[in-house]
Amino acid sequence: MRAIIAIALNDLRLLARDKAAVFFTLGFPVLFALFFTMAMRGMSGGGGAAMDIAVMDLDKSVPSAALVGDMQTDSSLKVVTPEGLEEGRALVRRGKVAALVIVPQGFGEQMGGLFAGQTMKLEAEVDPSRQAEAGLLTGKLNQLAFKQMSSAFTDPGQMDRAVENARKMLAGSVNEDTPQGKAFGGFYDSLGGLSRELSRIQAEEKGEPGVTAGGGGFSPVVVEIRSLSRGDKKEPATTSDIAFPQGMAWGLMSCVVGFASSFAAERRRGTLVRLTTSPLSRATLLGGKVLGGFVACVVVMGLLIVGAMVMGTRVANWPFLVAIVLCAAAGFVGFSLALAAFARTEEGAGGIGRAVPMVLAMIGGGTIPLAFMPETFRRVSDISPFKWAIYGVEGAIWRGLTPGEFVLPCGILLGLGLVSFAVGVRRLSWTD
Amino acid sequence: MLELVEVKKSFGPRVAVDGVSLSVKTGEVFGLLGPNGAGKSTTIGMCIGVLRPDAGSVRVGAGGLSPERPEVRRQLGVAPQSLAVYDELTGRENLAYFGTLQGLSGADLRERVARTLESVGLSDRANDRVAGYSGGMKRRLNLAAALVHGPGLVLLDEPTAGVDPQSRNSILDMVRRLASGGTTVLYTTHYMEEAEKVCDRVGIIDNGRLLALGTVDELVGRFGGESVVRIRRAAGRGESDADGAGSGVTTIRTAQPIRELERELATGTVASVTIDRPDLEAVFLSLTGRSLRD
Repeated sequence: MRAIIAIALNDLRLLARDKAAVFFTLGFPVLFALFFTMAMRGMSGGGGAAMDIAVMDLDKSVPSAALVGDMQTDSSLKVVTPEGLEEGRALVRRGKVAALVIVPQGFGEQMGGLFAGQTMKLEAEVDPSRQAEAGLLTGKLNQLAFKQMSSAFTDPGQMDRAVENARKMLAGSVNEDTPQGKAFGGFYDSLGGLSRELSRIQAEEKGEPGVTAGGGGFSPVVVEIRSLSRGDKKEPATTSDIAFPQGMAWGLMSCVVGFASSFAAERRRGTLVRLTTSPLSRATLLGGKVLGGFVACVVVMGLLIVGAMVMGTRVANWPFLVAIVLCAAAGFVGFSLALAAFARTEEGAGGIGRAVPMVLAMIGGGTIPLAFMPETFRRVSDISPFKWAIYGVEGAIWRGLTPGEFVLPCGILLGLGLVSFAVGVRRLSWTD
Repeated sequence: MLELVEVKKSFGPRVAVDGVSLSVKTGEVFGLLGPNGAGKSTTIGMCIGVLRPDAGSVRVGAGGLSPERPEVRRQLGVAPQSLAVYDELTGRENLAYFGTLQGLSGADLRERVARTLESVGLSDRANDRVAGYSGGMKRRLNLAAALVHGPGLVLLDEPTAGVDPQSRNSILDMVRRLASGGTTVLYTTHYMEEAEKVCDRVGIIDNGRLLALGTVDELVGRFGGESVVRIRRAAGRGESDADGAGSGVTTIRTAQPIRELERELATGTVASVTIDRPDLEAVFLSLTGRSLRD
């Protein structure tokens, strides 16, 4: 045990004597994690940038103008109106906007044919590199279009016009003496009655604000979204609570990269021969190396926790957080040592130490949220220690995991560390 | 103390050590003399267990055990040809760390570190970082790291490579003191002067093969050829060389230079005498057809 501690202390002393190494092992991970946390806050919905889109209204009708107006006033969209379609397409091609939304000719009429089964159609030409935003845009346009539809049920004049259009379309396609024709006729009569009733109510309530095409209180479906409360605290998670775990995983990775090249550095210095000709076992030597890396990782994560709390993160369960920090540090350091076993030079070890964790971070949701990833990535994410580190930290901060649920991420990370350590012991080449 | 039996080691198609057998007695300084690339460092590597022989065996200590065993490694001290110290640490920190790896601790560790630094002449620079040491000082620290735990067998691989003459003499003195204290030393070098100065026995190695083994006198006597005695007589004698060249200097090649000198002294006035005895350079030349420094 004395030798393991001596090796660890020696590594930490060597680290402390190299200012650049101190920055990249301790300081940079903290900065990187905080930067990542701030960047991810946008994706989580806290102060993120609005989506840039261009909009062309080719219909120039009252309904289309109202729809464009709704887009311009929506806080999640930043709308520019180009002079023409080609200018709009150029904006997309140059990456200035995510999509060109086109309100085609006939949009207003389509809205008028709402009760005749006509579909309102919008078009969008999207930047192919921003497909995720295209998905968000589709949802937003549906929401705004539906808002326009709802006005048909609250604006008597609009309803009358829609009903009249529908009757004309029906007359051209269905015989009104048939059961089907009579059914639709009755339906339109009911709508006409509703319209007259709405007009009467609005006339009686003079001075009350009328229902406009852009407003209205009727909505057949209302979706109430609530964030999962934080354990027993009955409060929603903040954006820092959500973004910090990913930032922490990145900080951890930055810290272990340095220790992946520890053995290669000993080989370069020539001191590896002194380690290997000592009476210490291979496991003891590696244990000392792992301990040094572990201590450095715990220090980094401690600094990250302090930084995160300054940014507003609130920890729901401190014992769990301490446990997952220790398990994640053990897992990542053991893993980096296994990677180091496959490199003979510092450059090789550094390259492997960066490349492999980078891939694991991607498939583990450490870069793009898993929700945006292809199904294949989501299926294999279970093999990524990033996923479990993030999940465990989330569990301690806002997911409110039970002790039984918490055992899984801790166990996986500890198991990864132990297995990786065993691989390193077996694989590490002592010879020049 | 150390025995190698027909050890062989290859790296791919290149045979680095080809059937070397030797034994080093306890308390002896054994020199392995050969040019660069002869197989000296590979032999050292097998003796300390970092390289595994492809064939043959290496046995260390009274028990004749493999150098890979921890109890054997405690008896070994190695000063590799490439410096093996931490530039970022001080001399004292280096020795304390290496001593800890060897199982030392507490007051015993501190005392051994201080004594070892004193023995290699680095006490006054003990608390300075190694990065600021001269090449000779780093070599001495490299040697000290091999000695701090008091091993019974010390393996020194070209310990004076690249050092100044003062540091070289200091290291050679250190080796002689070790031997006089009972420590066994395996010393590799390509400098014949060092082998002649400090080694009790020398093995000549080239291209992975041990060509000859014995004391310096034995090797010179067997392979070094004859001594050359040059006698300059007093002026006026007009003596010629033994071969009749008439230069005033008599040159005699003989295996018994002292007897020849006595004979010449008896025949006339001798103004000056030089005797060039064969050395290990001549031995190597005789064995390989090449100079040590080719």
